[in-house]
Amino acid sequence: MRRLLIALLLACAAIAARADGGRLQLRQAAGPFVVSLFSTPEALAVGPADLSVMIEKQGSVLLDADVVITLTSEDARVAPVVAHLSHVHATNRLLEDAVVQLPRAGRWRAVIHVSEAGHEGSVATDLTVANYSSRRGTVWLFAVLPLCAVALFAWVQKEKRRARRRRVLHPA
Amino acid sequence: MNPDLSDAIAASWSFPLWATLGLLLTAMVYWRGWRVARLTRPAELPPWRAGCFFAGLATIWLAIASPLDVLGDWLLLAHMAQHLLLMSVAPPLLLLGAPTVPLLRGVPRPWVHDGLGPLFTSRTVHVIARFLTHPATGWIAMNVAYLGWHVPAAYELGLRSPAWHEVEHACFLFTSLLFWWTVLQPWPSRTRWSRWAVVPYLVTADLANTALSAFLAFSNRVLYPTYAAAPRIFGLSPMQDQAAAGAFMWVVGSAIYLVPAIGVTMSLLSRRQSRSALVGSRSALVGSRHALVTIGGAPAAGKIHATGQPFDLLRVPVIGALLRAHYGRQSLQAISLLLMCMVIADGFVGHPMAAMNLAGVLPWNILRALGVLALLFAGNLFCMACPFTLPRELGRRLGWARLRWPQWLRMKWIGVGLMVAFFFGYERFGLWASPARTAWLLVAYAGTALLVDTLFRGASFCKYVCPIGQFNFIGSLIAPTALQVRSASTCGTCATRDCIRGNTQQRGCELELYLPEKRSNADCTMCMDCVKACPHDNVGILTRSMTQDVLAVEPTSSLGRLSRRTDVAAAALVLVLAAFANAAAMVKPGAAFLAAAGRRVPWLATSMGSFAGVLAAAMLAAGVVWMAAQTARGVASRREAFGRGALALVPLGMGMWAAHLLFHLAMGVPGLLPLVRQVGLDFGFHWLGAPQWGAGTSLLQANGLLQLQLLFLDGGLLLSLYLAWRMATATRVGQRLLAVAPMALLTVALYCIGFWLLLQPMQMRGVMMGAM
Repeated sequence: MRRLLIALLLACAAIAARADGGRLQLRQAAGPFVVSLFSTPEALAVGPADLSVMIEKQGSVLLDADVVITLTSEDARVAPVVAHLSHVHATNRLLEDAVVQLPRAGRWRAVIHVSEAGHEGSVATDLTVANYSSRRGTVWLFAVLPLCAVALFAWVQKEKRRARRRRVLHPA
Repeated sequence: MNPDLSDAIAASWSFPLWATLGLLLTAMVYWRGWRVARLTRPAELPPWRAGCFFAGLATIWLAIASPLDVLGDWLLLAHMAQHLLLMSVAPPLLLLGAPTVPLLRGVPRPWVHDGLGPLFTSRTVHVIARFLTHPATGWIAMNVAYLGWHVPAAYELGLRSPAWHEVEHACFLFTSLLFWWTVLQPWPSRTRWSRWAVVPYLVTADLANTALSAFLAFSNRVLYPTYAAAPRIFGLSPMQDQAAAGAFMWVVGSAIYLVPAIGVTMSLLSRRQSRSALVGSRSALVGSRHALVTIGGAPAAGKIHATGQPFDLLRVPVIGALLRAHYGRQSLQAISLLLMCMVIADGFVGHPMAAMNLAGVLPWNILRALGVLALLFAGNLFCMACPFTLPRELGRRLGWARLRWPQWLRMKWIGVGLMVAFFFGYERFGLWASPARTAWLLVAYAGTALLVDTLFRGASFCKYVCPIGQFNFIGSLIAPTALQVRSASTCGTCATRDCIRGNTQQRGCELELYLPEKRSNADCTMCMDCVKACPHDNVGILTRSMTQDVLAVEPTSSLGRLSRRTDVAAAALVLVLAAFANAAAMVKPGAAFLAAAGRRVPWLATSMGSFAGVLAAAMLAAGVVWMAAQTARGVASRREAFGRGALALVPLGMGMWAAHLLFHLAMGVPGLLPLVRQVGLDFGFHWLGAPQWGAGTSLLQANGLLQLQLLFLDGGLLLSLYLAWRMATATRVGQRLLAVAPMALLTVALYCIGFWLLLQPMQMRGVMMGAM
């Protein structure tokens, strides 16, 4: 009964959690498998990144493959990021997903290792990770814009009041 | 040169999104104003002036989007050509277009009257304007900017940083406009100095240009280190490039200053020109009065009023004819019905992965986004092309629809409940991830529409049941267009009232909206029945203020006073809250919050529990809006104050929906081609080819997309704040700030949440990218 309850909760949590989809970074054969790698955000940036993988074998999607992704930065001082992908956090059950922290901008080498029922395969691709601050740098203007508009509106209102007062004091 | 290289350079056009949008908007405003102003001022605004203005805008675009911009990083010569376009070609062309009056007349009259009018009468603004248009200011500003930005440190800064490069270009353009203002004296401005002063004004500017050009041409070292290290693509050495740039600036720049100097001299020496100058100055005086009248908002002449007809979509060639055609709407509906059938079929038998199935992509990522954008820019086009109303025609032809919708159900609560159920189900059951569920939903939707409209007369399904319809009705309250009568006096003399009663050729409005009393978009499906039924051709799709519906105090044709309808307020709140909730569920922190809540209180993780949680959260939010709206209540009832508060939040909600769905649209469109091929494979149409799924591109660059999203949210915030302000000032005479503060704080809090959500990595549901 307890196992059933845990399974139910896990299933519910999986439905509630959203962690898959994104840009297709790779679709390539790896041994008997076809591996598709998705990532979000659409342009990878320093910080959290959502990596999802779909594994297909002989035309059908595999749901029980063991998938490990290893991310290695071109900067040798940065430790590799290793993540074990699973369906637990994925809303779309066809995908296996993990959220990784990318600590440094630049080129990263992603190696995906898949194993299932004695079969194994690996694929690799390069990912470009942008500096997140460059994205933030473009954003401040849009936070300031409403402030400027409100300030301008307040000025117009003040001028209107002043004109009204003038008309009352000095009627034409 | 290598042909591949030249091809690559020729193809190196960029698309600066914001600059392009800004230039297009300016062109549209000018065109609108020029057409109106020309009716009363044909002598001052001949067509060649409009041509000059558009050529000036095109020159700016050419300077920043053409390969010149790319080459400017490697070749000083190209960079100088770009600067020349921005400083010496575009500004004179723009000013030759006499832009003051056309631009002011092109802006909607209420904006000029209420927004700009008080500013133009402000003494501060007058002082600033006089200072900026003073000849000395123009001369000094232009030359300081020109020489200052060519100092190596400043120039290198512009080359290194794109942002500073844009600042540099803005400096050049703005200061050059000030400089050329004195030379060209665009109508209706008046000369500040004698026209003879223009000659030394231009000649001395040329001296500064000559000095810099000579310095570049004859310098024995490379002044800008970037070019020393840049790849030499044309075989020019850095020194040769620098000398060529200097020579180019010298010859072309001098010509641009000296030719007008000669022209001004000759015109002043000519007696004929002197006489025309006198006439011109008189007309300038009259013109400036005319401009002041426009700015100040005083009643304008009758002729000007006569030309102030709002834009009418039905008068646009082709589009208007299509919409008015007897089978115009049915054609749109037939297309959408075909699409719906394809979605249902693919949902049931196509690829199980939503990203590779029409049912996973088309309704959720493409059509939803297009529908919301249409609401904001055009009107309720989704309902116009809705396929679900076609069954109504079937029921009508069979003669089964005889019942009237029960009186006690004539309200929006069923629609509101279905909206809540839909948004909850969308997240809870992952509709976007399951093509089969999406297909079932569409089948159920069509079945319900068929059942309701086959049994009941009129448009009962649209008006009381359809959750999409309720969403669109609320969203269209801030749409910029509405089906309205063109002339109220024509309706006053109409005895037949065909628009609502119908006639032998055409039925009247099924939603019981009587056009002369229709003051809002609520309940209007834009079915065009009234347009076709009106024997006087007096119904159009007219532009109007986006705040008109929400601020209206008169009762509307079918719903009465909107702010007094709690069901309408509830629908508005659902729309607003769902915008934020739907986006929150797509980002990691939102999902983590839900998961944590489910772990802490397991009951909340069940369907029943989560639905109860959603309802509780919605009630809590409604309570907050209720309380926040009460300070601006005035003499209105508490319920009406709540209604106003909820409606004031609609623009922010729509802004959030647009920002969110724009992301789906931008990411989804590039994947449509492989998706169509995938659907073809699913149905055995192999001639469409195999889908090439691969790493593709977004419709917009990541930063451009984010900026557009934030702009939608900013627009929503400002409109909501404005509505809250207007409602507070309408009901309370004193302490307006205090009255509006709670609603303003609530609006800003929601905006901050939206802003933060948009900055989070957002997952792209149900879309795979197509190889481009």
